Amino acid sequence: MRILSIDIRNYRQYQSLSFMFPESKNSDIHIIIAQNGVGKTNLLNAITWCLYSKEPHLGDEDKNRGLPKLNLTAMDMARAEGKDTVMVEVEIRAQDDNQHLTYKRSLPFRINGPEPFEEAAKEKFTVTTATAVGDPKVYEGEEAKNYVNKYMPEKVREYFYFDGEQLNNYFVSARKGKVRDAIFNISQVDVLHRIYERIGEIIKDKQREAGAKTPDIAKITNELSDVETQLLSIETKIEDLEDQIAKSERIIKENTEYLQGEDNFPELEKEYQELKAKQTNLTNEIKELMASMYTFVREMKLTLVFYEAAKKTLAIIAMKESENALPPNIDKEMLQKALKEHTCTVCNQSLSADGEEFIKKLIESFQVSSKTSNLLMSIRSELERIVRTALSYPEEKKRMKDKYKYLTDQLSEVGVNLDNIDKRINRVSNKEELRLKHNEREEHEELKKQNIEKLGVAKDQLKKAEDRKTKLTTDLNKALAKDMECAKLRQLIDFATNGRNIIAEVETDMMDEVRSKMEERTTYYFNELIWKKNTYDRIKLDKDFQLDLIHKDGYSCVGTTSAAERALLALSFTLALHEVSGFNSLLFIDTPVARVSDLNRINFANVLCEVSKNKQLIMTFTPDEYSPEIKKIFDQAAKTKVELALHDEKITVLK
Amino acid sequence: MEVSKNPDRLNYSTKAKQLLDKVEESNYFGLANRGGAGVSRSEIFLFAMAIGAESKSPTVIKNPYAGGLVLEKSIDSKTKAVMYAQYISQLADPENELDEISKKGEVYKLAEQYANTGFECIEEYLDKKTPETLLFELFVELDEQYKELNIDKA
Repeated sequence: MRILSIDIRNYRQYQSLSFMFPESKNSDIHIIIAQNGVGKTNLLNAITWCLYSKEPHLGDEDKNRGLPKLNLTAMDMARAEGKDTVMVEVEIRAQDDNQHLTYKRSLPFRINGPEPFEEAAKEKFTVTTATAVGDPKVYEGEEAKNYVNKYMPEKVREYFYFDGEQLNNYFVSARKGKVRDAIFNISQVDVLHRIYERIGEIIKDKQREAGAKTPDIAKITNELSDVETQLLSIETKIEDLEDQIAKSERIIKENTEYLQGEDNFPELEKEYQELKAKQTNLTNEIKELMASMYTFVREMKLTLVFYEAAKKTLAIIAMKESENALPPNIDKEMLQKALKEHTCTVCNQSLSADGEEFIKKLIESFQVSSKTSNLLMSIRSELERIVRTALSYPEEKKRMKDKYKYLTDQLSEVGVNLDNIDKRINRVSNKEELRLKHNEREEHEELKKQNIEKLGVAKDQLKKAEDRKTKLTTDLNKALAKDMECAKLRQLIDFATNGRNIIAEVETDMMDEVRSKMEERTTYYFNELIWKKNTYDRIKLDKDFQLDLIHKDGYSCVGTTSAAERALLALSFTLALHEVSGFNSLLFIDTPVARVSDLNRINFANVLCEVSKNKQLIMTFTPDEYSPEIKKIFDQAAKTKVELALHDEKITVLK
Repeated sequence: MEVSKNPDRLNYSTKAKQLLDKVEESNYFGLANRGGAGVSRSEIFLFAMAIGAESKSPTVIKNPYAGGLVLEKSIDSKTKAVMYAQYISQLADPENELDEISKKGEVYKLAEQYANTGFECIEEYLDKKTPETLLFELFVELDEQYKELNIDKA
């Protein structure tokens, strides 16, 4: 695709300007020369705004000032004419083989306020197509965008319209992957990839469809097999339980018949044993009680026998005490000895007549000796206890006799019961056999009870397993029927999978081929552009198409190249990309030789002249950049050459 | 038998010793000593003394068993108290003759003689009565004694 003309109305510096790019057989170079600030870069912005509604190349000054897209002179004029709205428009006419395309974007600005107001909602973009014989068609919205992406995809716009001043940053790491994607697009391998992805989606859809339609027959079969095994196991278990229950019932019946009339024999024996144990306990209790009673009677015998003696003695002690006849501390014998020896036994002094008289009176007052007194005191408490114990006799005796009566009555009753049971037991001749039969019957009654419960559970399990088997059998039949339906679907999936794998291989091959050719052509262009002919060996591209420059000595040197060399590398890469991909679109370079000088410029000009034989090239220069050495070459080759000027410092016009 | 002024044990007859050997075997009326685990010798002596005292006929120990029945240190306080009380109760004028109890030998002798009578009775019981019979006969005796003593009215 090549651009035939660009018409700009009321966009930034451009009030109304048309650029024509007629085709030439030998060369398709178009030169635009303008001083800085006149509108070279905004021409590039006008193109990207028209096609993508974006202005990626605005200078910092414009961004900061936030000037409207609307040309200010046009606004003033419209206001002067009393208009409320001014339309900003860019129209690009292009041609691809026999198809004519017109890309047009318009944006109205309301100007009745102090500041112009961008009516973004009313922005309009159309693509009009027409063949050589007419038949125009206008597209808007997504259809219009599709026409843009068909010839100049937005994703890769940087490879069609780029700023020469930025060329040295072309291969910064941030672009990694983006370059590969761009090549993917430009070389149209993405078409294959889209097919690959589309087939993948189709495969997924069909797999889902097949998955929904094709039940897992193996899974159902396995489950069915499990259920059948389970059923068999349950049925066997039920049979076993029923056999056991029948056996228990038979034993219970037989033993009941056997025990008829002697049914309660074991109970009788059990009762007999219990009574025997009770008898033993009672006997022991009575024995213990008898021992207590012996002790009690002995105790009470001496208590009552000596009761009077004790009471009498206590009375005498009490009387003597009341008469103070019991000497507390002074020994009567010691006093008598003192009288006899006329000497005090304490201080060993001779007693006076008065003293002896006093001792005589004292001895008379003490009726008993200290020894006697001490003895009386020592027995007193025991005698008091005897008197008290005597009082408790009737009560203690009653308690003991009652207990004795109770125990002996119990023992007697137990004896009677034992006799009765013994008589009944003794009537039975085959005691051991009866006991065994009874115990066996009891065990089987319990066993039968447990087995009936287990049988109930097992039958429930059987019912569930049978239901499950019925369901699984139905599922399996359905699955088998559906399996037939799915055979075709599986064939389609297999076919699509194979096709997709082949596409993936072709895609890889194509990318490898593109990369290989890219390496070759980038190396070629770089060698053509660079003045150093013996420094670099080749250019290498990795899988992400990251560029590396290999020095003649074999090492990587892209990181140490000059800004000019990097710009030339980027240009070489872009030219190689356009060539290898066969993407037939123009190349717009704004200030391409900003960082290039001298011999490199000449090389640059020669290379682009060569490229322009098959590709439309639009380049903008400052008058200084358009130096005599390239002017000489481009002036001869350029199909058009225009110079722009700024009228009244506001409006860009053709000089 | 000469009375010791300061006896150091309670004596009993050889016959009574033989009786107690029998009792020891049969545990008649729960009177076996069982090497000290059963009824103490002091208690056995006191029971015999009670039976004897009830008869009011102390009998002289004709053939005392050498070694005696209870050593002084093993005579419990109750036995000792009863021995002295019984001695005091039979004094002609106990209120004025209290110092008589200082004659320990006499006190012990009287007690031993009552016990000796008691052992004779016990021997008779052993020969003629089962412990149970004795038990219930003694209950009857006790009931009568209690009644005679008018204890509940004292």
